[in-house]
Amino acid sequence: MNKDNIRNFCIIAHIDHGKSTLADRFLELTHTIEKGEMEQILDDMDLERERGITIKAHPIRMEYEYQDREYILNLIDTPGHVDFSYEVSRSIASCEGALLLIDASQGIEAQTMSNLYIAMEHNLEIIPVINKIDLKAAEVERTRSEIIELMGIPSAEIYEISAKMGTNIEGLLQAIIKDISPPISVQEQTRALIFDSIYNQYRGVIIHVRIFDGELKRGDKIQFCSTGKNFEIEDTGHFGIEMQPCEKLSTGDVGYIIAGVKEVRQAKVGDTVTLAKNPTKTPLPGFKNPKPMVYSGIYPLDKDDYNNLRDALAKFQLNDTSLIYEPETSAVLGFGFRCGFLGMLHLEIFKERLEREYGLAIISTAPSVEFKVHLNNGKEKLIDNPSQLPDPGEIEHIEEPIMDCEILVPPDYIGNIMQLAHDRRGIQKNLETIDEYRVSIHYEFPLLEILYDFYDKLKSVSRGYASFDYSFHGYRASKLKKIDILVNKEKVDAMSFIVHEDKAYTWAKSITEKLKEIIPRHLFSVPIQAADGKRVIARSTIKALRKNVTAKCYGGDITRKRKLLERQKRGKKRMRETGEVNIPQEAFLAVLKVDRS
Amino acid sequence: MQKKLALYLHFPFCTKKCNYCNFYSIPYDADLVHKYCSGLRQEIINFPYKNDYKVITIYLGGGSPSLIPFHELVSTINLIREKFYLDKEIEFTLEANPIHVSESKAENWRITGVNRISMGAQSFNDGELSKLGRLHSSTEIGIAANKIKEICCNNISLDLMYGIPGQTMKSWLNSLQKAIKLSPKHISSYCLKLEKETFLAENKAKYNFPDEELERKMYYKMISELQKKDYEQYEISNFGKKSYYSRHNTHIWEGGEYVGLGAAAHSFYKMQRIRNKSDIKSYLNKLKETNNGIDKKRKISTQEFMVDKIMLGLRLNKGISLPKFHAEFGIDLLDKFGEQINKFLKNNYLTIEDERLKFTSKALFISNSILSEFI
Ligand SMILES: Nc1nc2c(ncn2[C@@H]2O[C@H](COP(=O)(O)OP(=O)(O)OP(=O)(O)O)[C@@H](O)[C@H]2O)c(=O)[nH]1
Ligand code: SF4
Ligand SMILES: [Mg+2]
Repeated sequence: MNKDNIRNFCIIAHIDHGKSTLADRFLELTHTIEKGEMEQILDDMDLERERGITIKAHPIRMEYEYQDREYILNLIDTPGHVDFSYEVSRSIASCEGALLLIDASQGIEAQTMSNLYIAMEHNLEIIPVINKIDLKAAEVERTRSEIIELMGIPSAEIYEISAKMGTNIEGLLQAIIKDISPPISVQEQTRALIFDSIYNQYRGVIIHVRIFDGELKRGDKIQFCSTGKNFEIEDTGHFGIEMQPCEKLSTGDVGYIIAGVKEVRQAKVGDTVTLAKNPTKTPLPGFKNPKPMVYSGIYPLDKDDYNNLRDALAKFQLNDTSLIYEPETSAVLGFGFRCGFLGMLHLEIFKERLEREYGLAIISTAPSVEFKVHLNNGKEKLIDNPSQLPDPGEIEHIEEPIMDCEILVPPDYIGNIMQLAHDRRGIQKNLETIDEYRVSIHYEFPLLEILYDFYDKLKSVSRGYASFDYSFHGYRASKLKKIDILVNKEKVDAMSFIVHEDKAYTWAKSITEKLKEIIPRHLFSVPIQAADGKRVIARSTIKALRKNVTAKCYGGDITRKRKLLERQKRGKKRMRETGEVNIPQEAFLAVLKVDRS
Repeated sequence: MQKKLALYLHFPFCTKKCNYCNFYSIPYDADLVHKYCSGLRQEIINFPYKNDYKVITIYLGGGSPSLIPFHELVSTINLIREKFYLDKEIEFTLEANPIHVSESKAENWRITGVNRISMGAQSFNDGELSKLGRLHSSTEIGIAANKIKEICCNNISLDLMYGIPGQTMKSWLNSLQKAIKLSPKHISSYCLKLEKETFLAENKAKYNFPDEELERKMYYKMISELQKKDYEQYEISNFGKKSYYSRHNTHIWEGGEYVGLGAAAHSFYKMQRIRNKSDIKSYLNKLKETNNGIDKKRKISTQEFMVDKIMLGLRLNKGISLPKFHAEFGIDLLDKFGEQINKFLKNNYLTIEDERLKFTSKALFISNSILSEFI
């Protein structure tokens, strides 16, 4: 295929604005799938279908005839959630154009803006599209003026569609051909960008590439620019609904290569593939690998499952290079792993997939960020597990990660947002009026303060109108301290947390109260204490269990009684014991449920 | 030698549903009662029995077996006498509701061979009785008890309840005293439990239930009060004068075999746990098809039986005989559950006396917390 007939594009949109639905319409129109065959076709994971969100981008090739010419359209569907925004940058780097898809009933969201800016930096052709015009709540005109304001473009070029009803889809498809430029090649030596790399147990690593220059075919000896390692191509192909082998991949193509690579690590996302016999001197720019921001201890619920958990993590990492982990032990939880995640959704999805795909029940500890601890002896230590914080006497000062945050909100709610930001130790940097409906406020927030329930709070103080995006800013010194939790006078290492001095008491109080609800009653009363060093700053007491008896137990009651006892026993099995107290799984996440406003 | 068997017959009809009751029972209907009793007899006739068992107790429970018409009762019991080998010293209990007790009924029961009446008194406070949805007053309990003693038998057991809405320690002690005054040979006493789909559970917001702490006090107070009057506690909720313990239930708590006949009856027979169809209609249908009323039948392993034996045996104040346990299962209980037992011995929830493992008094009201560690 002549590269002039190829169009590579992606869709930038906020979560739920309709990317997957629009992709379905494109697939139908190009007869890649037949109408009504399946929905959200690019979301493979069960979890994606169920939650209705896209986690992992999945490319697809479509064929379309326009004005008597055959075109190849490669679409890369992208996730909308900020945790997975690195997926968006991968797609952007592989495309010449992007559809900016905006839900007419929601308007532009903060995160969409930041992705749009990335696309603009990459000189992508942007086609603005207003979706869901069929909705009663659609505010097409307003959305239109927002887009014009944001991009500085004449209004005629904005497309109005309903992905759900299939309105104006054909025109949009043709716009992709007309407006997005075909790929161009700038050099002779072969260069292909790895935008994804997926482990398959039968075929080894399947490397997803976009060819910028030259071509790749079976038998070619290739080289990875970052490592200099050589491999021989066994197979090349395109992404149909399934993988379609083809003779070769040429300039402009999006496809896969299989080259006997055994580990995803060897074919790094962002790396450039070139030919060993005539390698390029200038690799493609690539993009930053995402850095984990949130850490949590992951332990098997049943201690005998440790090896299974270890194997599952290894398998998991094959396809999710953003997951990092290392062994960790806890006095109360036993042997497990410290895992790093891109964000809370990433963590949540990870846990759910572990249970679902690997059948593993786990206990996870409250998520933490990574602190930089400066010691009196001049050394510096990174701490992502609060229980490992050195003794206060050794600490010179502690730094915590700070995020750059962009909040978009209607002017009416500015006051509420400021209050919330104040509660969460936010520092306002800038306030910009976008139009009469929206202002953009730039804050610096400690990650610790926006990790847990910030998004929900933000939505509730703005009646759902505010949207939010963040990226890592840097580290900053802060007055932080560690609070330990003692259950029945014994320290539960996995429950320690790090908090700002001013909030230590409120958090401690709230957590001890929460634990009182979560931990079941025992035959003796159980004190729960929160301690700052040796000083107890908050406490609660779980009263002793005074009644647990089956008064009546005759012939017909025996099976029933046995079941009751079995239930009580099973409940205990799902708990961890410390100081003769059984602590249920949820207790280790109590920090999450604390009211921190 | 013949093995001992306890026989249970279920009669699932009541005059009116009590507010706390979730047993299967339906309003009395003469036609249906006849069909049911015929069904019961069909089940008795077809029950696979050889003379390898000796029936040591018969228990007529419900529902309200005091509602069974005389002719149905006689013909059913006659069948049993024909079919089963009955122990000469058989204990034959009938559950009676005070409102059904009349001179003629008492006479009929005596003729049928009933030698023990278990009567649902529940409370001697009329306000509490009406909250429970009982149809009798406290005076009527006394009248009924006296008729039974006069005409039927001396061996009366009374059921009492604590944890009733509005109940105070004072009214509980009063009920206990009034019960003792009637000099029953036996008293069973239960803590009211809110069962699903009962009137009380569905209207619980409207009532003021005693809290756990008060229930606990009522329980332990009862034990000491009854003790004073020579009612020996022999099981978590059961008290009897010397040689008047319930033989039927003791047999079951000791892990003995029992056969339950009738709708919703349960059996433990030849290492199987059996449950009959619970509603009358499906019970009768099942009988039509297979000559038995069985809904589910499950063989249990020795291991499971062993645990059941611990679970039931510890309910009895005399506890479990360690040598006997060893003889029966070839396992030393103290080895097998060493960790748990030692912990509870140390905390004074269990004790060993005369080579018997038993609960201490303070363990009784939280016994499930202990038993669940043996499962
Ligand atoms: N009324 C209406 N609903 C739409 C339209 N397009 C999409 N939707 C609905 O919006 C919801 C979200 O659509 P998706 O296609 O899953 O959104 P997405 O952008 O892929 O979401 P993520 O993958 O989670 O980022 C679904 O319930 C769709 O049915 C439209 O044009 N009109
Ligand atoms: S009499 Fe007994 S079986 Fe009948 S409803 Fe009352 S408590 Fe239930
Ligand atoms: Mg999607």
